[in-house]
Amino acid sequence: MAFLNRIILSLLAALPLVGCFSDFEPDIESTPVLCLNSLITAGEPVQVSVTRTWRWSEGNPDDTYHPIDIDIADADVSLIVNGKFVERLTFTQSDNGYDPGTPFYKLINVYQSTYCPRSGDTVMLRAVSDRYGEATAQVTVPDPVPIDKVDVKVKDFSDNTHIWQGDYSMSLGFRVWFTDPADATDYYLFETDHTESHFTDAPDGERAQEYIMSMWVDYTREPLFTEHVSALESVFSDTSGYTIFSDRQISGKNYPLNVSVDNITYIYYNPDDDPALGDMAITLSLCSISDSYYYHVLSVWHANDGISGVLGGVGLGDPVYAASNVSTGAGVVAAVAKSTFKVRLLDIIGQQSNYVTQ
Amino acid sequence: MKRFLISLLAFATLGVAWATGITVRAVNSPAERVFARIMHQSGKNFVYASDLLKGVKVTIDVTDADLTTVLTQMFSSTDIDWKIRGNNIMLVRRPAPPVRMVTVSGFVRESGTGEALAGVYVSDPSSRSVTATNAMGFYSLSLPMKSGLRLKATYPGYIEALTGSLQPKGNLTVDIEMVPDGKLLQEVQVLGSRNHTIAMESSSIGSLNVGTDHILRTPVILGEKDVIKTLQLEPGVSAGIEGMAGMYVHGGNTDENLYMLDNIPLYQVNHLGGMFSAFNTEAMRNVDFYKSSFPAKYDGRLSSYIDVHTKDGSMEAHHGSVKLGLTSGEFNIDGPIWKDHTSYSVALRRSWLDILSIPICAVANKFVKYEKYSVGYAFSDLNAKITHRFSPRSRAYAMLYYGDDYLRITQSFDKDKLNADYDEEKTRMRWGNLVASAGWNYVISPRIFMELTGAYSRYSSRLLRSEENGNITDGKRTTFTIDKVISDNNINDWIVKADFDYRPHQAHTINFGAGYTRHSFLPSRTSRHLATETLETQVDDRVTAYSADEFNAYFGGDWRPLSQLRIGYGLHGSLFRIDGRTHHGLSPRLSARWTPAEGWAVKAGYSRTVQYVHQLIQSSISLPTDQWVPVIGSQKPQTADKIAAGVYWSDNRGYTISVEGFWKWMRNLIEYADDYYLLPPETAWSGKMTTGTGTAKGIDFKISKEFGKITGQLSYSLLWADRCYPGRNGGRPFPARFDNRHKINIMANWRINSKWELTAAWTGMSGNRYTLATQCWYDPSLAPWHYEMLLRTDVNNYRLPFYHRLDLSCRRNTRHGYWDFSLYNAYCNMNTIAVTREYRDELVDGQWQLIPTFQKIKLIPVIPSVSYTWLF
Repeated sequence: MAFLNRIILSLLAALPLVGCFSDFEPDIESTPVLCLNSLITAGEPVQVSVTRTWRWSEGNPDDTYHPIDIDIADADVSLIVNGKFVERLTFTQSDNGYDPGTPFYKLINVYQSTYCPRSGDTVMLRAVSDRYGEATAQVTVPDPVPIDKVDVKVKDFSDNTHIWQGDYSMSLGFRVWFTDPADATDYYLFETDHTESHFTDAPDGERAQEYIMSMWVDYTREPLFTEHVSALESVFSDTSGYTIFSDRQISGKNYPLNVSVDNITYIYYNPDDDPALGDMAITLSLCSISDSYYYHVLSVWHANDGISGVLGGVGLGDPVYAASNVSTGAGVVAAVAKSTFKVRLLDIIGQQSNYVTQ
Repeated sequence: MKRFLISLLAFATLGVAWATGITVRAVNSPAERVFARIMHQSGKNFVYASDLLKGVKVTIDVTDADLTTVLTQMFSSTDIDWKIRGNNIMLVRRPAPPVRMVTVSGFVRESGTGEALAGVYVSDPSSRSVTATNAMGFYSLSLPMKSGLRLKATYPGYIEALTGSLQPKGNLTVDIEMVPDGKLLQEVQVLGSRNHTIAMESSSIGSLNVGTDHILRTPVILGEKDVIKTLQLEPGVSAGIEGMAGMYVHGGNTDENLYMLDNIPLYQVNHLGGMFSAFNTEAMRNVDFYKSSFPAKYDGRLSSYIDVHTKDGSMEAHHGSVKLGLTSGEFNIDGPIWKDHTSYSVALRRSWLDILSIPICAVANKFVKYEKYSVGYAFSDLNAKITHRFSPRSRAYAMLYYGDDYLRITQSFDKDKLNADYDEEKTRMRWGNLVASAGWNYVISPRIFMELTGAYSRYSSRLLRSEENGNITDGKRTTFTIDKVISDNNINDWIVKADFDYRPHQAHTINFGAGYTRHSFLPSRTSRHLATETLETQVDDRVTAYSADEFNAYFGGDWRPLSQLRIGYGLHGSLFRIDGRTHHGLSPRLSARWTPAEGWAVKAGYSRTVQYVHQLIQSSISLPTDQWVPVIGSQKPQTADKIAAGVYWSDNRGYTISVEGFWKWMRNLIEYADDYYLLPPETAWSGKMTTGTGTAKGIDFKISKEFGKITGQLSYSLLWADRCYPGRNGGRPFPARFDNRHKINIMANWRINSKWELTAAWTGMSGNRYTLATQCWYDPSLAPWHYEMLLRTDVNNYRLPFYHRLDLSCRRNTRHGYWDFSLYNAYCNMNTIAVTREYRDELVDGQWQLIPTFQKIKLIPVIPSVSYTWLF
């Protein structure tokens, strides 16, 4: 919960202490409209989710037991690239990015193209529904901005190897260098991830494994990640998890992003020299994102943690809306181009303890 | 020959007739009857207006006298003048001899304390001349010089004062003392009401004078008596959010009210987010409130002017009070430093919410093992004033006001352990006002009163937040990150001004004056300090501080050309210079009162107002983050034109009925634009705003009874208020947030006897406007956290349910003070202040489900409170 929420609640508690809530249905008419959501990546087919908006009290499309159906399966969805009609998208099903079998996995209905946009393309999506009308949105696919180099500083390295072949803890400080193109306003998203844990049943019955037991990414050292936060919000608000930024302070410059990954505990056990192991890495991604992506995430931060959003949320100000670039005001058509850099943990360990990586 | 003889005869007859004397005797006889005998003897006709001789009686005793002698003697004791023209005697009323006028001036003060009383109506019943005292209690009346003059002074809460018989031989100084009704025996009734006089006598529309007595009798939440909450009961004034001391006058915004402390502007007038106002009732004498037609002296805000006059302190004896309430305590004392020359007044108030929070936090922390949480809030204010009378004509004062709010929140994890990760967050917020002023009043002549004032007014807020986390090993800090942010926001005004009251004629009062204010604005400057064991950075933002020069001059008057007609007029001119640009404003004022019949008054007026500074408001509660900023860049000053008209009726039993209508047009209003928060924070605040227009119209109806054992008022207001900005709501007009269409207030006070007094106040109004988004769209999952995506809707598209509540209070006077018991929201109707979208648990088909629902947030149940005030 944002810090400002706490303050507001403290003040409300200092008010006469008690309030109450009562359910009701406001006598306001509202009409559903089409919603388009799509994240376009250069070189991949376009997938767009076409849904309708719903009245809050109607239900929840993500409800486990009784989800409401908001998918629009009979829409006419067109793809227009650089002003020219390319194709009519087909309705299909796609996974939602989670692995099958995991609790969050589910199939989602999307419209998909065969055409794969390129960086620099201006992509327009147009959906028409007999019942909900028309929605259009346009986005330009950004060019990827490469990571020039990454400086790694190792802190608090510790070799705790007893049972396993490797049991290490450390903190890593990264300076991720990149050069912002000077030509236009650019928007970025920075992400940190690590390669997935790996388990193999070795022939002798022992289980080879490699995993990161814990890792905490500290983004607070990079001021660009809080450039959207006003002074007062920095006093009250929570900024964790938000790593979008623009080039307004670094336009055309070579700049290092400062990110720290702390409390890394890396376990490694490879008795039979499984070649699949030993590649655990921390992946640093610099994503060039469209303005629609940037403003949407920014508005969500303001809605959740900004002063305006918190006050609006408790009825003391106007609501803060999530930004949309769709003509109906519902949905986001965004684009991304990603550059990645992998920092292999065994290389780090090798430098620290003269451990010879395999 | 024949013709010659006839002529000679006629000439001889005429000559005889002329030569023949007139003999008349009459004692106190009707003039017409005597005229008949003179006409018969003289052959002359009397020519006169029919009403000239009405009731005229003459006494004459002449024998064989010529006509001139007869006429001279007959009219000597009357105001009739005569002239012989041919065969006619012309009669006219003799011009009245010039009456010598004298000026009677002086001060009206409270008996026992010597406290100056502003707004007292002083009149001469014989000549029907009337005037009002100014803020310093000074009055001046031009009256015909005659013996037996008696002046009458009327003022709410005070017994009517009548001077002894005056025998003026030249200009007179007469100081009047008035006795508060609370000091009278019960059977003596107060038969004066300033508001009754304002309604019936003045040309002002929508004006009110509120005495502390009235404020103290108004039931309020937690028993914290408050002038703003008293004014909220007036028609045309919306209160805003439940329980708050907000004021939205005639569809205006909260920053369109100019709050003044002894005519010095005060920028932040709230404590605790607006729950209490910054004005300590015990430090006040009375309050002038203007909402429709404004005196020329005031300008700078669009909607209303509230001038709080503070106590001078008694010149005769020490008085004081101590009040203990549920949320705060007060200590007030005043008295003479040098009897009849110098007095002091000190009022101190402090809340003890922070003290109450200590045990609450202690209990809470006892149940949480590794986390310590403490929160404390307090507000305090101090009013101090010293007044010195150099002579009956010369007086000086120095006044200080200091108001302060302080919020402290600390949260820590495991700081006390020898080996642990720790995290500590501290927030300190302090905000408040400082006003220091000094003034000198001088009666230059009985007709000219002068006041010179110098003042400094400051509002400041400072927010400090520090977060420190790290690791402690064996009691030593090994790693750490310290993030410290300090934000300052302030406004400073240096003010000098001179005001004059001039009474050239008994039917004419003129006010004029000029002033200069040096403004300094610092809208939220922030510095950030980040330190780790290896890094230390300091970042200061690029907020621009502004300085501005404001000059103003005004000229206004109150003129009564006819006994039934009174005209108020004025012009206020101002210049505002900032960043090399100079804005100017001319604010004409005109109002008139016509009395078509006894007990009736009809008024109409026009006012223009100009506003150069405004507050950036993000919410409908008062926050220290609300910054005052000037017009800059291409912005233009906000202006409002308002026309108002009203009909008033009163009788001598104390009832006054008024119906006032108004229509207001506002231009260059400034508001945050849609999606302003998406702009970079370093964007100048002016770039986040949109400029637009607004209109407000409505009718205020009020019945009041201001004196007697049972007093009270019933009011109803009808209001339409809307706004239109190119950058909001897609450029479409939308209703203002506090467009409360209907508002009803009923308040009654019953003084049962000298010990007990009951007050009840009922408020009912159409709910506030609210922006309620009902449609949602599917989250594209681009942000790190899930959020309900809302489809944008029209601004203020929903009206909250009808608001109503009843407040009761009871006062019990004791030998040394009084108890005040009150019930806020006596029948516990918790009113809706907002609507949220929430989930409720519901059993569906044997499984618990979260069902999305709209919920009303209802606040403030019945709140009893008690306080005791000890008077000494």
